[in-house]
Amino acid sequence: MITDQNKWAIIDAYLAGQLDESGRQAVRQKMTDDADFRADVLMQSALNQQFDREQTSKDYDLVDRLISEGLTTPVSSGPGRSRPVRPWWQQTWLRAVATLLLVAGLGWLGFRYLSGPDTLSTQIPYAQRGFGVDGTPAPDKLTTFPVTFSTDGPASGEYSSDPDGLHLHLTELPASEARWQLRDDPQQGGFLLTDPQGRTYRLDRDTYGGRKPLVPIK
Amino acid sequence: MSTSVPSDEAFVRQIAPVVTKTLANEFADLPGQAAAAILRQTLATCLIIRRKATKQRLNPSLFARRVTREQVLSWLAADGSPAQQTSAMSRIMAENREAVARYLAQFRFRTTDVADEVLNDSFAAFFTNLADRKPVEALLSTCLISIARFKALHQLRQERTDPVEQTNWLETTFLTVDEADMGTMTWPLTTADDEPISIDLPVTTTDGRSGTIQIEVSRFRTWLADCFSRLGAARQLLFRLRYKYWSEQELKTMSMDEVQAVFDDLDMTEIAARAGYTNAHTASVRLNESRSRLRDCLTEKMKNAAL
Repeated sequence: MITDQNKWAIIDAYLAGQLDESGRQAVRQKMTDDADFRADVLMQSALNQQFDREQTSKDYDLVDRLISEGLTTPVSSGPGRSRPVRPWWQQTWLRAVATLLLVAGLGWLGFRYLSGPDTLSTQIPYAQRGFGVDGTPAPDKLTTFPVTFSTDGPASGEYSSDPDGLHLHLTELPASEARWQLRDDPQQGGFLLTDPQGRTYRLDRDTYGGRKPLVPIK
Repeated sequence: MSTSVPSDEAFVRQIAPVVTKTLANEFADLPGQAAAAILRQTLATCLIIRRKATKQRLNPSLFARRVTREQVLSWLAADGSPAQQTSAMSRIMAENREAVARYLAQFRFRTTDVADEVLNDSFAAFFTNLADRKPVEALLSTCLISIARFKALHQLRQERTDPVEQTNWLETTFLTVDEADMGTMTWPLTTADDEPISIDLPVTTTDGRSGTIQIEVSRFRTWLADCFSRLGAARQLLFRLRYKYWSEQELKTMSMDEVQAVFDDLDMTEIAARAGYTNAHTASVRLNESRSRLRDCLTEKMKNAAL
């Protein structure tokens, strides 16, 4: 029987897929009969999804960091005998990357002349404004935000935004999109975007389908 | 001889050469920016799969090659030339249709036409996700089966009148992937990406009227994220640790009595220690208080929405 005392353990087990069939039936029945219990399950389910998204965001952060570092540092295999490490310029993978970059770079140049604007969809670091228990400011929550770069903008750059993400219209795709950063604008309620050169732009959260110029804040 | 699980960083460093080599050798004609984006997405996807899958017996190199190829296919289906898109989508269907159909065979639909419809709808939804630039963060087969599961449950909800059946979309089920070359793992099919558009929740308005309010899931999530951000860091940590504890448990099914007897005290003792509370009871009390605060905050938002 599900009681106030055991319900959270049962909800956790239910959502984690670890309840047996009779337990699952009991939870389903309780959710049907008791709207408050249903709200509890939905709340915990939504929280779990939020935590999973946070963890996924950390996975991307780790990959971005390692890529920006060149993934060149050899990995220690722990205590004991370690494998000899070849110099970085003799690493097979580096040759592979160099070949890839050369071949793909030539392909990309050809592709640019034969096709329309290039686009790059990615996630950039996003510092989401936090609030304390009583609404007072709290540390920002670090997460990511979906951004699409495309090469169909003027030299000064333009942007468009909506609840699904940000679109930056530039003359060329950025070489290091991971170094673009976004944070909430505490003054005007929109975003503050910082490019790899350190310039900051104030953006609206939603341009309702239109484009606006990227103008650095002085 | 003892074997240790490499850290996330060591794992990424281990598979990165395989991914770059696969891209260089097998997909050298990709545009440069695409190769960089696929490299990033492949490494992240491998990391996510490694974190979420249980009972893993995977050959890291073959696993990384498999994910690389699938990420290239996904990119081509969304961003390739028209001919590449058609070819990639055909290949994705050819390679996964049988597995999805086999999974759907466990559901009893009214007619076989309905089963075919669910199968085709699942692929259509997946390709729409790709076109919308939704990242593929699992093996293609598990992504497709996850979508197919939701489509099947949605179809059965429409066919049946039993309200109890209408809640099982929240449940996590598990899928065993067993492939001769790559290895085996168990993948959780969750509702993260495939929940219904809206949910019904109880609400009492400021003038005392009780009823239910239909809320879009995305809106509910935004409310909850806002309410959660208002909790103090220590209380947030309790929730996170509890989720981490449950998501890392070895997979097994238990009765409600076993859950209560074995897990509740045990996990709170461990969580209390990690969150800096003196004992499990104090941590439990704080957690329950925090849940009440979350519910109150959500209730307030629902009241305002119901006005």
